[in-house]
Amino acid sequence: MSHTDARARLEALLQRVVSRKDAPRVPRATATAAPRAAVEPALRPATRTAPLVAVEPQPEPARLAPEPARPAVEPDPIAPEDLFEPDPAGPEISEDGDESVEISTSSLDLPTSLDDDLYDLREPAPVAPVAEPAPLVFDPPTPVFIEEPAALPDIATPVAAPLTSPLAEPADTQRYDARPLPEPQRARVVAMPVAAPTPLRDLVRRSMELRLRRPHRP
Amino acid sequence: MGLRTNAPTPTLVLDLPRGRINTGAAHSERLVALPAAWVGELLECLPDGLDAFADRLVGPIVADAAEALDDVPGSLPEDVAWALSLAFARRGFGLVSFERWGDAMLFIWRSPPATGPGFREFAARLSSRVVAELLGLRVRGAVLNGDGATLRVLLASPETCQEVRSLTVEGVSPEAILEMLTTGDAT
Repeated sequence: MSHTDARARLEALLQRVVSRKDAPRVPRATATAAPRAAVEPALRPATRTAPLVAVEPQPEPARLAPEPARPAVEPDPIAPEDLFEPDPAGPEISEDGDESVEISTSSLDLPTSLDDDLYDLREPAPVAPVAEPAPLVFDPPTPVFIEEPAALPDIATPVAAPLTSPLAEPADTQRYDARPLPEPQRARVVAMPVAAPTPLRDLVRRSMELRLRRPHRP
Repeated sequence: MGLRTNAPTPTLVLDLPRGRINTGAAHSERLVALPAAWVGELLECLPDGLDAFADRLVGPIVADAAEALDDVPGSLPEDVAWALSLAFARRGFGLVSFERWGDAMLFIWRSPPATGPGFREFAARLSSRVVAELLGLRVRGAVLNGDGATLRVLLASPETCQEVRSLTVEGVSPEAILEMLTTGDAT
């Protein structure tokens, strides 16, 4: 190779180098994808490790009879490698080569320690017994006692009134009302000569002896 | 003879907490307050049950009346009228008195709960049975007449009462029926 040719090749090489250096550099998202991809397998197995703690709270601790203190459940030690089960599929890589991974924060709410109250069965919190529903009480008002007047039924009053019976009153009609009250009019009646009082039973018996005599028709 | 001074005081107790009404006595029966007009309507609907309904009332009424009388067989008409009025009034049935027309004895029922045709038969049955049970007689009754405030029931033998009912159906007036009643043989 001549000196000229060598110089030309050197310049061309430098030109290629310069052109590559000036060319815009394409940002590579994989620079941040790598650590994310390393985190993702660490979190996803955490959601699977929760059921591994085979300890469930008592469904209704308040209804159980007092039981002897149960020994604290010591969960088996979980090896760190068990908590991090690698995803066989590996990190998802987008079509454009981006290895960024979406991380869901919902799985972060899981308890991370067995000492949390939710799983602490060594000293169950005392729960007040469920009270029976109280019945609704409707108290009626106080009894009302209604007494009739002490006075006797006013039976004798109509006696003094004129007869309203449509019947033609014979001359020997007698009236027997309730025992009369002391009235001046009654006093005059008592003063009159009357026959000895007759019991009602005898008077009814006489009435039972009556027969019906039909008038003769021409 | 006469009225007892220790006659029970009429009392009506409205036991609202238990929803009951009674007379306050030790063994008083439970009462039900219903409109008086219903009694007449009920009796109209139960023509075959009038006698049974009346007979059911006889016992308690006679018991109350006898308790107020010192000597039932020897009681005067005024005393019996008072005792029966007390027993009737405690049940809201009105008052009782007697009238004598010649020898014919009439049971006067004042202010009865009803005065309809159905109640008249009931009144004749109840009044005659009360007097019969109280005095120990086989007396029967027949309604002679009545208005909205008073019913007059003839107390006589069963045969005479049957004839009186027939005359009433025929339209014979009460005055004429009383004039037909006489002692001795009927013609």
